[in-house]
Amino acid sequence: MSDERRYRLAIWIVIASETLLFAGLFALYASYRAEYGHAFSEGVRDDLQWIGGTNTLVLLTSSFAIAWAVHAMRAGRARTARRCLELVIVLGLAFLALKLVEWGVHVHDGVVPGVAYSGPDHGPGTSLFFTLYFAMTGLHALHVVAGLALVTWVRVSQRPLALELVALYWHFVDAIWVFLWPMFYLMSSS
Amino acid sequence: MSFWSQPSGLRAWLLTRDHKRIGILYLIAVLVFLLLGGVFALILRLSLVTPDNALVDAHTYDELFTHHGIVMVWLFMIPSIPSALGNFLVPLMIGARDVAFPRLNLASFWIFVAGAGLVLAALLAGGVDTGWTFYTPYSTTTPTAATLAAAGVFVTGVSSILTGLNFIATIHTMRVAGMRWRDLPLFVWTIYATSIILVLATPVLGLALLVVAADHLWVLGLFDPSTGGDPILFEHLFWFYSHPAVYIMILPAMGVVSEVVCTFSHKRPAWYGAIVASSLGIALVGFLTWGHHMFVAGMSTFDVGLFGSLSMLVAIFSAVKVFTWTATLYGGSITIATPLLYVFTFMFLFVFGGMSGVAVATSSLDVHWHDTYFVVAHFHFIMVGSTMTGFLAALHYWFPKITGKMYSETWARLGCATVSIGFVLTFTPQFLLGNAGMPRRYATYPAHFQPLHIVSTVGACVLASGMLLTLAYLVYAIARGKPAGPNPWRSMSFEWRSPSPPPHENFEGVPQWTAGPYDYV
Amino acid sequence: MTGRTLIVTYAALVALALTSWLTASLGAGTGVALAFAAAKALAIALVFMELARAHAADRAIAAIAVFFVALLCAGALADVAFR
Repeated sequence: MSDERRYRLAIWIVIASETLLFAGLFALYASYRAEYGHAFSEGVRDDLQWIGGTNTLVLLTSSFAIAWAVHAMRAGRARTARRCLELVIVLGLAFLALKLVEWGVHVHDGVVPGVAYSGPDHGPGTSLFFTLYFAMTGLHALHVVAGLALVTWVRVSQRPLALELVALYWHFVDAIWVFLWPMFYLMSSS
Repeated sequence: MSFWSQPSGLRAWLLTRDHKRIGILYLIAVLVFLLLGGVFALILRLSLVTPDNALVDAHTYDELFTHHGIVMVWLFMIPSIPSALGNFLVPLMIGARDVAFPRLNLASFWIFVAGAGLVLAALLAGGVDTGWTFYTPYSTTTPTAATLAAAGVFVTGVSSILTGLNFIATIHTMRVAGMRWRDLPLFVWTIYATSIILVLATPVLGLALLVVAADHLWVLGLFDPSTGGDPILFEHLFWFYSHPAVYIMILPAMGVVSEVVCTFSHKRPAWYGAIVASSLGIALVGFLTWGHHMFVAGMSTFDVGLFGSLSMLVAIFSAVKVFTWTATLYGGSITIATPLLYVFTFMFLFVFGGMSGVAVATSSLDVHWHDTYFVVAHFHFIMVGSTMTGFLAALHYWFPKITGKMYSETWARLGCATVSIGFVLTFTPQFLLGNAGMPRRYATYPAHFQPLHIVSTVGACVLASGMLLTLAYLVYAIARGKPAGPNPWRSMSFEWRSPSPPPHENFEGVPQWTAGPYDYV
Repeated sequence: MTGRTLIVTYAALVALALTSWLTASLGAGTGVALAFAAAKALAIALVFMELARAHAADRAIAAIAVFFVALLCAGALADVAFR
């Protein structure tokens, strides 16, 4: 069978496996939110809404850009594909920069993971919410970094098959964020 | 020229992309870890000969059972059949030149070695005393090297995932032209089912261990009641992997049994579809039962009822397997040989261990048995006994394939008898001990338990001598054994259609699909 | 996927995100926010990741992964919620 079929199957297995890596944290979030609804909905208000929202739009746009890169490459328009990939890299870096700003603000306010937490107290479960916040956005940011490395490699090597596979991975990283956004920025009523 | 000598040189072995050589490298590694885990087990058993534990102090005892568990589970049983024998056999059985991603396969072996190295470093750097289960909050506060051990197991998990990915892609895309899914040898089906578990369950364990390691390093308190954390949630994550992990170990062993039963009764499987469906069914249902490890942990009664009932489903699929195997043997032209003898031991341990599994899945009874030797005996029968006898059956069955030599049947039968008797002698007393109230993981015990403990220790010594005997005659056979010929068992399966041992490129010329693996004339 | 489909999907994603943001600030519950997230993820999977016309095996893998996430969350939640 063709190389393409083998690699496509493999990348879907990688995505499934990575999804299950996040699943454990999703399960912890769901369980702790069921237990400490108040601390979790109040904690959501402490995250920077404008950064969360902007980052969502940034990642959605980057997903569209890489989808367009694939589309252009298939039509033989390599130049457009390259421009799209450059846009993806810029947007990915912007996402990380905004995330760093937000983490910086948090640390400044004493909002840190674990028992060292000294931010606003919303009752039992507050530090759990922020530990999960840092764990999940941190793990996701690591995936963005890995994705950016792959996108950069594809931009340089310009291999069509590699582009298709990396695009799938990038969409997956976007899809994870689509769920992190409501969990940490929107769900402020219990 | 076989794959053993071509290409030559140490470098060609260590950097090989040949699935057969990678299988051999895995085989050597898992045998070393089997030996190591076995030594830990022997020390444990010897120290339990006297009620007051004359041999080791309580802390050392905690470390010993932890090391025994970690080494046996993650460094021996998980990779034993899939990574070692699966690597060697799956491409041959489906008529492929190699696995789908040979370089990834090599990477996955060295990642395994790196992970194993980290685990061994943790054992040397003061050891770990959490038990192989890493239960929180103790694992996040213990002064021992839990972070390093968790990191090591995480790395071996990455290797597991890559191996599983490779097998799935291989079975999907590398089958010889003409081979349909319903023509797959049953062993390949079980490797397929196992691989699905590997890629889907391992990341959950990986995450749980990452959290434990991070918590141990930076005091996150994510599972610590003093910060509102819930230790039982860790158990959910841990068993979501670790229960299906039992099927990672036993499914490939079941595949071996299916192959051996068909070959030595020289007959088609009684019901191919049912065996395949039960393999996939076990893989799926294995994911629905994790809560049965937590009946007395403080889990909700709703979950207790749910997981207790779902756990019983596994017995249905298991029974389907046992009945199809016996039905295959019925009316076959049976040849008695060592692999088949190991299969008989497998069936005894599997049925007996499986029945005790239905018993401990009954939540009201489990309250009495939980954390006693009864549970220890149960999971050693079903998971260790079945995996080990399956592994030994496979090792004997495919020994002529791998080496081109034949071992001494007389010595092999003696070895099989010693191992089987030793195993049953070790763990049957533990059922009785547990039922009488002997808790697991204790260095000392009341004096009236001593006779049964002594019987168990004697059994462990018999088992160990059987294993050493097996190692000795197999190594002797590699050096001095008689040539076995290409297909000594007269099997129809595809792996036997190439020379034994196979050449570097697996088959001479392009392999032709002519008949199914069980189409005996 | 045609270029037109991609553009329409992108527009829909942005619209969903903005609506989700708006309803959340008006005090909509967790269910609403998660429903919007699921809709967006579905659009990304079906159109951008081309699951709508992917090989059956790829679609099965994606479905199984989602099922297993739900399974783990449900099992843990059924413990905490009914304790």
